Amino acid sequence: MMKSYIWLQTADGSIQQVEQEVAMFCPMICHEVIQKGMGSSKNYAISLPQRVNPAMLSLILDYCRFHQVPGRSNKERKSFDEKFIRMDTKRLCELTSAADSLQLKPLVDLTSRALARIIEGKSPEEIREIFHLPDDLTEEEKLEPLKNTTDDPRIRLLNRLYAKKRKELKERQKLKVTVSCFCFYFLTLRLKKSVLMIVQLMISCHLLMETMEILKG
Amino acid sequence: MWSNLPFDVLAKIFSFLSPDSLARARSTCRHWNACVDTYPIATSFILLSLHHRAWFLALPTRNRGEHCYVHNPVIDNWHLLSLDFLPDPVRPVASIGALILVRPTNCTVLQLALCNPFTRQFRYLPMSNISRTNPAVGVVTLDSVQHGPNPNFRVYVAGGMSEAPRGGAMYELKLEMYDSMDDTWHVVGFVPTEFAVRLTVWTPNESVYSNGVLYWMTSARAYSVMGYEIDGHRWRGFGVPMADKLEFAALLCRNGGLTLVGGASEGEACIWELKEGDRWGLIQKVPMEMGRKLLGGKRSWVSIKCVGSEEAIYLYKELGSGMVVWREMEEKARWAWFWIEGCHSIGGNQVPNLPIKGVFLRPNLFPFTF
Repeated sequence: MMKSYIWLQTADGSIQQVEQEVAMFCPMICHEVIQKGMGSSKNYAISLPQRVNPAMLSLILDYCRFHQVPGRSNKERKSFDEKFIRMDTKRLCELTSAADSLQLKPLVDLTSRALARIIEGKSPEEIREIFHLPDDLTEEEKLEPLKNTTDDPRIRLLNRLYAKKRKELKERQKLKVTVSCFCFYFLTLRLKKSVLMIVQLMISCHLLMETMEILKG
Repeated sequence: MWSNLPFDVLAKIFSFLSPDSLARARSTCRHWNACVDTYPIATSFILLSLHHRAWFLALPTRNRGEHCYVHNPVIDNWHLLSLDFLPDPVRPVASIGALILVRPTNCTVLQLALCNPFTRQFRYLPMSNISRTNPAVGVVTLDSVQHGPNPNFRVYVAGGMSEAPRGGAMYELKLEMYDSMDDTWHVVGFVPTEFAVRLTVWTPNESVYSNGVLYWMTSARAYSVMGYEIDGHRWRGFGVPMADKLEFAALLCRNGGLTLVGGASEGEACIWELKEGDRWGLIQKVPMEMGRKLLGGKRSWVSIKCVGSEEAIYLYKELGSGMVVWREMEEKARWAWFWIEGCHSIGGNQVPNLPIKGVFLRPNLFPFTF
C-alpha cells in the first residue's frame, strides 16, 4: 500500500514531504488539506506560518509522529513529553510560538506549563536574564500598584512596598530639581571661578550619588 | 527579541503562575507588562483555580504546627507552606473549597476551626451546644463553586460521649448541626444508640456526602458504613466488600457517587462504587506495577492511605513515597492512572520523609468571612 504524503513549505522557501497521518495531527494542516485541498503535490505545498522554521517543524513533527499512534499508554505519552521538553528556554519559546500557529493545543499546553515552571518564583532580573528581555520599564512603571481585585494579601503587601519606594523616588527627584536650580543660581551670580568650580564639583558629586541610589533601588 | 511571544500565548503561560509570580513577570519588561494588563482575566490565577484540579495538601501527622506541603497538579511541583499562624497543633477533619476544617489536637472535647493555609487565616467555630468527646463529624458544602470563592457549609456532629446528668459519661444521642450562614449550632435530630456507639468507639476519619446522605465508615476492620439521610432524618448501616480482610479502606465521593477504595493483604487494591440497594460494584483495580511502587517492596497495605476529590483519587503513604493517582482526563468520562513523584526537596533543601495526612483543597486567596 502506497503511503500518502503531504507537502509542506516553511517561510524560508524549503519544501518537504511528511507522512499524512503525522502532518494531519496538526489542526492547521488538517484544515488546509480538507477545506482547501492543499498539500497533495510539491506545487501545491501548504505554506506554513512564519513562526514555523525548519528546526521547529522537525520538533513538532517528532511530537506528532509519537502522539498520533493510537495504542500508546498514558504512561508512555507522559514519559515522552517529559523528555521532549528538555531544551533551552529559547527553543521552548520558539516551539510554543510555532505550535500555537499550527493550533496544536496539546503541545502549546505542554510547553506553556514548562515555561511557567521556569518563571515561577524568580525575580524580575532573573526572568529578564533567562528570557533576554529588555529592561525598558521606568522605575515608576515597575513600581505601579497592581490591580488587586481579589484583595490578595500578598499583592497588598507588594503594593504597600511599591508605594513606599515611589515616595522615596519622588523625594529624590525633588532634591535633584532643587540642586539644579541652586547650581543655575550660582552660575548666574558669576562667583569667583575657584569657588564656582568647588560648588559645581560638590553638586555633580551629589547628583552622581543620587543616580547611583536610584539605579540600586 | 527572540522571545517576543504573541500576547495570547504569553497570556496562557501567565495563567499558570501564582499571583506574586505574575506580579514579578509583569514588572520585567514593557511587552510582558502590556500583556498582563491586556488580559487580566486570562492571566488570573484565581479564575484558573475555579476550573482546575484540586491540590493535595500533606499535613505531617507528627511535629504538627510547623509546615505543611502542598502539591500543585497543574505544573506538578511541591510547595512548602508554614503553619506558624495556627495557635495550636491541629488535625484535619474535612475540606470546604479552599478552607480546611480542623480540630485542635490538645483538646479532648470537640472544638472545630477553619483555616486557609495560603492566606494564613484561622478562626475557631463557636462551641457546640453539647460538649462531647470523640464524636463523628460530617461536612456538607452547600453552594456550588460559582456562588463565590468560599461556599457556605454545614457541619454535623453525631455520637461521642457527653456528661451524664448524674455524673459519669454517656453516649450522646442528639445530632447537632452548625450552619455557616447564621454561625450557630442547632440540634437537628437524634442518633439511634447502636450508631452512636459505633460512631464513638470507631471514630471515623472522614465523612462523605453523596446524594443527600452523609456517610461515615468505621476507622478499622471489620469495616462497615453508616449513612444519615439528612432530609428524612433516617439512619442506616450496611457492609463493605472484604470487610474483615481489608488492610486499609477509605470512603470518598467520586462523580457524586459513594466510592470505596481498599486493599487486602497480598492482593491488589480495588475501587468499588455503591449501586442500587446498597450493593457494591467493583469498578477498577490499582495497576499492579504502581501498587508495588507505592508499597515500596512491602506486601501489606496497612500503611497506605487514600483521599479523593470529585475528579481524582490519590493513594499515598509518606511525604516522599510518591502517590498513585486515578484522575479524570480533560475529555470527561475518561479516567487514567498516573504516578506523582513524592516530595524530596523544596528549593534545594531536603525534606524529611514524614508520615502525612492528605486533604484536598481548591486554593484561593479570598479572605473568608465566616
